[in-house]
Amino acid sequence: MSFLLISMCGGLGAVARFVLNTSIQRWWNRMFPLSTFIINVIATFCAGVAAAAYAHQVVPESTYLLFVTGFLGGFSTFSTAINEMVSLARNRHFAMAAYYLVATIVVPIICVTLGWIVGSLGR
Amino acid sequence: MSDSVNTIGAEPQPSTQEISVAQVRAQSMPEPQGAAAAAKPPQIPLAPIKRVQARFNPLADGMLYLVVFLGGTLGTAMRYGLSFILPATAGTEGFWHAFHVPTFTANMAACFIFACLTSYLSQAVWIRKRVRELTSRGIGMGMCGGFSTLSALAIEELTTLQGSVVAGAVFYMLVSFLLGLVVAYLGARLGLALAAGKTAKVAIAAVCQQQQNWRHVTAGETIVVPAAQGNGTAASPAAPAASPSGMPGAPNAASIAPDANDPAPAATAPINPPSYEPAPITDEIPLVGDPTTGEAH
Repeated sequence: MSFLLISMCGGLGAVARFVLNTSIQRWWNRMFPLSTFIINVIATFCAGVAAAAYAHQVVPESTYLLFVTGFLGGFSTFSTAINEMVSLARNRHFAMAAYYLVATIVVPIICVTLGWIVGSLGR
Repeated sequence: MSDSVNTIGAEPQPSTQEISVAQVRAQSMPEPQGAAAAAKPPQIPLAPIKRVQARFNPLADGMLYLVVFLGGTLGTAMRYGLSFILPATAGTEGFWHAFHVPTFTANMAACFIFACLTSYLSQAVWIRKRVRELTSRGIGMGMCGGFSTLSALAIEELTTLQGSVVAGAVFYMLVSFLLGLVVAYLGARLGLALAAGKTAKVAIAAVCQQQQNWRHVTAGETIVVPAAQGNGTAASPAAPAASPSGMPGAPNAASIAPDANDPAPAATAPINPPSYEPAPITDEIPLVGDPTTGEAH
């Protein structure tokens, strides 16, 4: 039962990503894939907050699984980001692909750390 | 002498019958005129009634929500199930403890499937556009997006860094990204190769079918297609005299009636002679089909 609930939370996360992705792509017309980047930034920040809350015993494990493994797992995406890099490189935008790669490696670490700090503020 | 050489050499483009695709495209793309020629042409907003129609707005398309939800559910179930059947980390202590096998496997598989699918669907003009869109959204965006995850990767990095195993964390992160890029590239190549093979098959099948539909008509032969005329008076007496080689009942064939006794020769559909010239470039229809995507620009 919890397996199904977690999976459906993942579905909800995917729908949320679809809505956000479409909304951002409507006004963003540059080459940099901003929509995926913003989605991943939000997801990793929330993951940091949730990890801090779980580590400080604020939320039970079931809630943590439901939110992080389910919703945030469906919301954040690794495959789309990687494929955007590959398609940028295939279209000979190597500088942009490298820039996006570095941003996708570095920024999530910063975001999850910030989220952890925010989640640990009350302690 | 030198003048004549100059004249010959000065001709930049010899006049040939062949028109390159780029030339056709350049000539058929109309130059923007008036306000549209400005550096920042005015944007015409979509009519309000069209903003809520699924054709113009993917956010108004309920079917997309459904397939993305189902795909995301399936992908998350696969990723969560992987965490049960695979060991959580590659080692119990130290360097390999930073390497989380389920997340890594899910990410690599999702990268490969996503790249293969998107590159295949981008070439698959023989599949209907709506089916392609739903498949791309459901499996690509929903399932692969739910299967792969960056938030779990970031949390694993954070916990490893808090355990001060920096080398393991950096190794895990770099291997994830670099191998992901390689796998996605291979997936894209595989998808394109599959699509190219299928394209060749479709083209061969189309040519074979066209050759079967060609009919050879000898002189003096009468072929009357009753359905094409619409009036039974002209068709019924000639129908038994249909030639053995021609198919009398073929409804799609153009009616060919070279017989002088035909009562209404002017009423028959005109047969277009085979054209050996390129299609004319017209200003009325500035559309050029793109054979790779099947769309007209």
